[in-house]
Amino acid sequence: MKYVMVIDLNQCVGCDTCTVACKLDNQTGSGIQWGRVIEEESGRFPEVKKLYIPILCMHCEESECLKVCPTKATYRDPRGLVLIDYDKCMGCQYCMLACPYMARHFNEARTPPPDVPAGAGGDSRKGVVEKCDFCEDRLSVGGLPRCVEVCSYDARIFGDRDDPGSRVAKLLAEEKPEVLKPEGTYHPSVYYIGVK
Amino acid sequence: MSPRLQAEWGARVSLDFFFGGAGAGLLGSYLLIAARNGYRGLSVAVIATGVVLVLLGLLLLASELGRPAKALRSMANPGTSWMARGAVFNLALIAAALLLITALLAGLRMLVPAVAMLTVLCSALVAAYPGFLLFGAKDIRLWHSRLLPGLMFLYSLMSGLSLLTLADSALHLGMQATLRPAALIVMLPVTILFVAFWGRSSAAMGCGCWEGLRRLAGRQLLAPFVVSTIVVGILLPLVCYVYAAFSGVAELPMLLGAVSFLAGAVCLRYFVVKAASHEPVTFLAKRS
Repeated sequence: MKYVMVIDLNQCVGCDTCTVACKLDNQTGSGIQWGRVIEEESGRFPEVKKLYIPILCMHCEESECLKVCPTKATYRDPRGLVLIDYDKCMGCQYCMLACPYMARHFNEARTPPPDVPAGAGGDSRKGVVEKCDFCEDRLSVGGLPRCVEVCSYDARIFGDRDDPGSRVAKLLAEEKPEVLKPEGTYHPSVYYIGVK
Repeated sequence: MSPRLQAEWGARVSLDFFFGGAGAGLLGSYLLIAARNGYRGLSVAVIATGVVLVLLGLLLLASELGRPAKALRSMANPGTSWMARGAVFNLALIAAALLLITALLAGLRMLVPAVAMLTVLCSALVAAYPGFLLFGAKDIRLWHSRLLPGLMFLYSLMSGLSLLTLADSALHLGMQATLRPAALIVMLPVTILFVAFWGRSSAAMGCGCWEGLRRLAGRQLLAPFVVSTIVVGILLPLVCYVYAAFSGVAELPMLLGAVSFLAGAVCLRYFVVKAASHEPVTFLAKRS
């Protein structure tokens, strides 16, 4: 089993619903976005194109974060997810420096403002590095990542790459998707179609 | 998306690199020089100073952690992580140096040569590890330079020799005749590697590398960089050591060179850490 995500840039309109849903679902703190959408322009006038590129942890097969983690807090689970054991993490942030996608965030142990409800900001993650886990808790009960669920434009497709009947397996075979930073040897699990 | 300057590590990490490197350099250079006369008259104060500096570096690094109480976990992955290896090297150096102090105080002379060699080996590893640590962040082009481990190692060695020069003056260790040529011999490759590192970085094609150098060359950082690392950290010590080596007056130029180099060494670590940038995340930058 190998979970992957395919993002169709032809469908993404940059509405950031996924960003907000992720933030609410994972209770991330101020300034922390496990998923975000960046804008890129390409071409020359009048043939210009604007791309909205959702960025999240790529769950790389050759994870730099996993290699550099001194405490083995970052690990790979049997489904191909790169996860963090927050109890083991000591918050050195070396993984953030090694991550080529800038997909990791340090949860500074700041005291939240008084109007923030208890639990908001990920109390268990204070003082450690956090990131997208493909909503591992949802996957465990047969669900989908929250960003995939809420996308109104069906721009995010998620599934098991090793299942030939899955939609992601078909897209990977038919569409020849691209990855970010292809010059690296990271083999990310998030693919993009509609880049050109 | 444009390159982003790294904001993860700051002044405390660069101070850890300085103190750890200077402590290791002090222990390594002192014991190597002392080996020439069979470790006779070893100063416990000098060895203890080296240990204190390495410990100070570790404490500074621990204070930068999000959860300092879990710092002991940092040795769990020495197979692939240079941070874990660095923690092992630092603790091994402290243990070896403490064992050496114990052997000296207890009068166990036959243990001294073996423990001293072990301390020198550990100090070499501690001196080199910051360079490999930074090199491990592949996406930061300024750090992912093969010259950086060598530069960090030589800076640590030279910092140790500078501290030894100060200790020689304060404690009358009688090492000036050895330190004078040694300082000049190490200072020359330091200068060459310094020029090669920044020269190679400016020639590298990565966007993030340019961004780091642009930041250094910008109005805010250019003057402090040139004054602190080039003028104070390289040119002034070089002039002092050349003057000390070829003139009759040695002590004052050696002291001035040592203090000047140490100030430059702190600044070099700071600029190497702060000028680093992540490469932009995009498909388009690759094509253009």
